[in-house]
Amino acid sequence: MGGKIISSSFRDASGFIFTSNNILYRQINKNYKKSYDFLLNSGLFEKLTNEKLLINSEEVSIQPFNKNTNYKIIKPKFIPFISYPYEWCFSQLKDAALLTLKIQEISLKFNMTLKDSSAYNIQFLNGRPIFIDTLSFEKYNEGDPWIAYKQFCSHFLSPLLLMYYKDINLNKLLKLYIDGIPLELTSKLLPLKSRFSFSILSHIHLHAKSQKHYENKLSQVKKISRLKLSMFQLLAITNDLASIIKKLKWKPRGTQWANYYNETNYNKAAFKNKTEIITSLLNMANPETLWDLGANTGVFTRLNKNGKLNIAFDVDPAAVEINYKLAKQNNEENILPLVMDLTNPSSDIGWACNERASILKRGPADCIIALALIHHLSISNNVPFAKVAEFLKDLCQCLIIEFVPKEDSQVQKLLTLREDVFSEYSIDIFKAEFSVFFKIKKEMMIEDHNRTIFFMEKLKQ
Amino acid sequence: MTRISFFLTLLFIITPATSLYAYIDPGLGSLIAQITTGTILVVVFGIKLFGYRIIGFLKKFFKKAKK
Repeated sequence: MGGKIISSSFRDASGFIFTSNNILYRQINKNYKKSYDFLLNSGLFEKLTNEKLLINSEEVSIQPFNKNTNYKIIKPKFIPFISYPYEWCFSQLKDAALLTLKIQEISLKFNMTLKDSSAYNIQFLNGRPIFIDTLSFEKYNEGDPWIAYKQFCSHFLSPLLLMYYKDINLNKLLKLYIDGIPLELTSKLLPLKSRFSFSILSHIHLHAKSQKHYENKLSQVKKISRLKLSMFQLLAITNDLASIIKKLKWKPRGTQWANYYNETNYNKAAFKNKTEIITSLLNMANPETLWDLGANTGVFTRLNKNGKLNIAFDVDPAAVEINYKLAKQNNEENILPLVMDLTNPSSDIGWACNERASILKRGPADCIIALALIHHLSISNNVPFAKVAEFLKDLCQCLIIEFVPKEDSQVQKLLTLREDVFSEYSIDIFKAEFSVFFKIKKEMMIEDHNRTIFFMEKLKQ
Repeated sequence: MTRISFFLTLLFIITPATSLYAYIDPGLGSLIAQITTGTILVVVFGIKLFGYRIIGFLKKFFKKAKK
């Protein structure tokens, strides 16, 4: 039939995701029939979907992608934007981890268990983490250990502990280690004091040692396989993992941008006018999807109140953390804060460089706002206007961008210890370069300030 | 009744298990680590939960032994 299998959906023989006529479906293969029927008949599926822990889906009668292997086709609820664990802030990864453990705990009560606990099984929908892989469940056999325990430790516990104890940016190691951060590496990086916590000692340090010790000792498999794990022990492990993760509380401060709005050069009147300009432009554009590049804590992202999905990207994990916590606190469903370095945005990674998509493939957005950003790209990072414009044209239909002139105090700060080699950094050249890809519809100077807001529409090519 | 269940759980730790047909490789070392950690956690939990009963039982046991 027509349609295409999603490039990341190949590792699980139980089924796969495919699109047909731009609609997403999941084919359930015959070898997963028993588990799927048990998932439904046990009541676990209903319980998890009702509590919005698992993505809801409906069975549909369409032509299967592969008749020979097909059992059923289901149509899961659509996730408007796919994000990855290396783009999440601390609390997003923490919430995703706790959701996985909660699902495992509930599943055991229904005599099922998660056969994998990959961080890629979680997506954010309406601002909250949700489990998306309906095929991750299998019947629990009394005595069997949790097969996905190792995966949980490397996908969730390792990055969380590294972010907490060493550096908040260490979840980016998940870009390098697509199947989770190796426990041996985590054990080497964690500080000595982590060994005094029984949970970290057992789930990471001793776990890593045990992995290394039994690496080439398959001859002992027959003897070891006689060891049994009761459900009580499984639940004890799940509870212990949840307990250590809940105790990890990272305070977002000490990074470059965490305190940004207390250090800008906007006075009250100028800030108020900028807000009014952005609001009016957003009302005019009325985007369903908005990407805010350099969003910080999402002050301007939130001006797009009618948008279905507002993604707030920022390079600073502290700013994203604050933004996410604010969204949770206020039960905001249409905002998704993510960590992204625009000078090195998420690229294609994984098998055949096609398993986890670059940011370019996950757009375009209806509208992008790029406020107080251009000087950081062009001066701090030496990216010419032409390159910025060329990059942005692939990401949006319309653009609201703030030009920050060289005489601006923030630009002068950037040039304090540098020779000014930016002879082409001017508003006229900015307009000329952007006009190659965009039509400038509005140009509005901010009152009581030297910056200009532009509204541009992408040229049809 | 709960005391008996607790001790039975400990006794059931080492018995023949069913084969594992895993979707992902759980890793032999991870299996060992999981079983070890799970056992310790159960013991610790049991001690916390039934600590006073265990102490009471041991006191009675040693009193009888003295007599």
